[in-house]
Amino acid sequence: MIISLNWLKQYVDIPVDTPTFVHDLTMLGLNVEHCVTTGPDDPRIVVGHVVERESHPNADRLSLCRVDVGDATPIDIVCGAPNVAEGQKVPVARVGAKLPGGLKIRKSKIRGVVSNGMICSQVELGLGNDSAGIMVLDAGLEPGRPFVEVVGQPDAVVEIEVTPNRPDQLSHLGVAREVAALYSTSLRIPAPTINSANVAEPICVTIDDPHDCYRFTGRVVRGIRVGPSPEWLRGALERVGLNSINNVVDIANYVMLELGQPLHAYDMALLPGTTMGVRRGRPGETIRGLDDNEYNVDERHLLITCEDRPVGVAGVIGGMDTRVTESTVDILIESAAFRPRCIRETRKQLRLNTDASYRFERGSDREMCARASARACELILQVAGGSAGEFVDRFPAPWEERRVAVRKSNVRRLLGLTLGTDEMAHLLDRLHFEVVSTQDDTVTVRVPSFRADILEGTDLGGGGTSAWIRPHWTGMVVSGDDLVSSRSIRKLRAIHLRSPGRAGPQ
Amino acid sequence: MEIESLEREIHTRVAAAADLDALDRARIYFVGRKGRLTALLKGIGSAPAEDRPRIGAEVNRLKELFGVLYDARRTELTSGSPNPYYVPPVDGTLPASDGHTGHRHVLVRTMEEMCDILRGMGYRLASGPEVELDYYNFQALNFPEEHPSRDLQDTFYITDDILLRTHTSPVQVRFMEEHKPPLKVMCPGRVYRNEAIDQSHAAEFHQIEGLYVDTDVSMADLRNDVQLLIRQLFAPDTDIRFKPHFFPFTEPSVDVDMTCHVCRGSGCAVCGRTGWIEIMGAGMVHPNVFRAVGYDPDKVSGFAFGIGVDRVAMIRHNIGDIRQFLANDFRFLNQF
Repeated sequence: MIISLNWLKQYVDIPVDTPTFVHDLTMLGLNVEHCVTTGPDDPRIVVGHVVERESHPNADRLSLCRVDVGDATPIDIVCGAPNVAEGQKVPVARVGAKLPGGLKIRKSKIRGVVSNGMICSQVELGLGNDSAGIMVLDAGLEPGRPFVEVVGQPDAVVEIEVTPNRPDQLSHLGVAREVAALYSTSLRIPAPTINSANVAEPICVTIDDPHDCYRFTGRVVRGIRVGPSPEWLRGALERVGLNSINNVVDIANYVMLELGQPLHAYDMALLPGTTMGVRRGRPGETIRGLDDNEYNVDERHLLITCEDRPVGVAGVIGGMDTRVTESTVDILIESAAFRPRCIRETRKQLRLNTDASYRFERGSDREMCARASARACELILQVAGGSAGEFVDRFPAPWEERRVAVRKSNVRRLLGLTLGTDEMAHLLDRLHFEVVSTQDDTVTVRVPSFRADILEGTDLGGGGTSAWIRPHWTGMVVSGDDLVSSRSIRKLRAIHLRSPGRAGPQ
Repeated sequence: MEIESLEREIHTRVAAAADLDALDRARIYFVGRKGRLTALLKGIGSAPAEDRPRIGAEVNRLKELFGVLYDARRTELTSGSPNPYYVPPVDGTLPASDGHTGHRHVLVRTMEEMCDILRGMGYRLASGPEVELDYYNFQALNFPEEHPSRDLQDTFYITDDILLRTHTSPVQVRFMEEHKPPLKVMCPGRVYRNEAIDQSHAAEFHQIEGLYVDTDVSMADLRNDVQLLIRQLFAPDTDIRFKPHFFPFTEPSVDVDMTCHVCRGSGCAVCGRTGWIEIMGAGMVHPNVFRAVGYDPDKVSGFAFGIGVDRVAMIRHNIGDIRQFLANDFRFLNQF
């Protein structure tokens, strides 16, 4: 799981510097595999406006550009990119600037023409993988503005190892939760508010088997404009390894990485109707997935249907025929929760593996569905316009209250650590395990919906609490290093083997 | 009659001719003016007419035979060819050539040394099959069926229920099924994983499992034993640290790091500048594992650890490529 620290800081304050933070994460159990700082921070990288562009007199593939960087007169820059054009707003690294890769910009002559800087591509700025051409920025930016203001402070991106028992850590909020508990700082959970317009057509939802699908929510957003995503969204996704598709799909991915809830958006004009269903497939049914492959489905697979026709493989991949495109105007956002094993069996059988199925097969937080749907709506209204429509929530299998008792004596027995029940209660509370009662030896807590891995009191010894306490392990000294005899015998045998016939030790 | 005995005589006399004189006398005897074969031809007139062609043919054949044998013997006598049965004299006082003897494979020696260390700490040997049941390799170790935890280890399946064991942990279950606590066992052996093979990953490698079950066994005891093992295996001042991790069969689970043997903790390329090297995994036995073998998790507790033998050998002997252990190349094997 790739986490951007700048993104993470939206939900929690990090009171230590990055190297310390990386160490703390590792010691928490979130093993940091890589840490990369991305993004430029040099003030001499600014927004430029390409006022004029003409072909370089001495080289076919080069352009000579006159670029306004906020000075009295525009500067001359030679550019080799195929996509540079008049009128564009572009990132310009001026003479003296240092790029994230280490390159320092100097005044130079390229094929006989002076160049006073460099127009940059994403790769050169450490912002993405696109090296095909220069980065084109929002037209509204003014020339001379420091690029750092446009794209935000340099970010540190860490890849953490998330173990299969902790699906709650597969999102920025999940990691923020752990961080907040570690440093005893507060957690800021996004709390979207939506003003729904009056309902036009009611959406219907039927769930065949609540054992397979715990919850299905659908939300309508009307009158949107699908297009490229704004820089903050594109940058956030690309920094954590995803490609930007369009503003709607990007928001769905953003919310998945933010809250851990996979979402899917359907183009309502392409849906056969307004009755959504979740059911097993029937022999002979097929569906064309977003990956443009045709899948044969039957009762082994769980499907999302509309007017009983398959429109998606539940929890795995959406359908090609109902996807959001540039011409989409009204969308239906699906935010649902499914039985992990059901999703796993479906996706393995179809030989698929997606970000969505990865989270569902490990167990998603069903209580998060509605909030994630609202959050996506809020952001879509922001980047694509439109108005919020109806919201439907079928929740046949809510999270059942689960209580576990954590015994002080077990903590002592298993961890070798003496903790009082008050201390334990405090720690557990910080981890969102609501304390129900405290007795002599026991603290009883409610397991939150995002910790389905906790089945009994001893489970909390591990992923739960031991990391927090960072106990001072007491050790007992074991004596008796009597290895001499067997070692000597082996040594004799080895010597004997190496010298047949020669007189060995008598 | 006479012809047959003559043929025998030709062979014998020519072969027996010890020198050129004797050979010449043989020539005169058989094909000279008064030679036997010559006489036979002269006397052919006195034989019956129908016999004459046969006699003539036979005698000519013998003449030719003589000629061939004569030439060959003559060449032999004059060329002085060596006797193929010549045996030079032998010096019996020289030492005999050194026969090849085998020696123990570096992995075997490493495994033996690790077992020695563990034996000194009270561990006794337990073993189990390499071809294992899914039940012992996964289910009894708290890997639920159809669960992502199984994805952590790519498995060679032979049938749906039979596989090549992916770790030595199944031996824990087998041993506990047959014994009552307290117990302290180690299980060395080969394990198999269906992984892409490269410098640091092989499809077959070796682990040693440790298990200690008793009343009131705690993580402090685990830390003690692990520290002792690491210090005896590497340097006496090596530190270890526990990091929270996940194994389905232990709770809590830890990854054990030791101070980097190259930079002694200051940070270098080998340890990714952290000063620590991940060396093994361990944890407190999960209650579900106890339940699977019929122990009461409220009455007993235990710890388990698993350490990779190949990895230890690679660190100690500075071996760069795990594939060399099983490559059967004597240029490698003879270095140890």
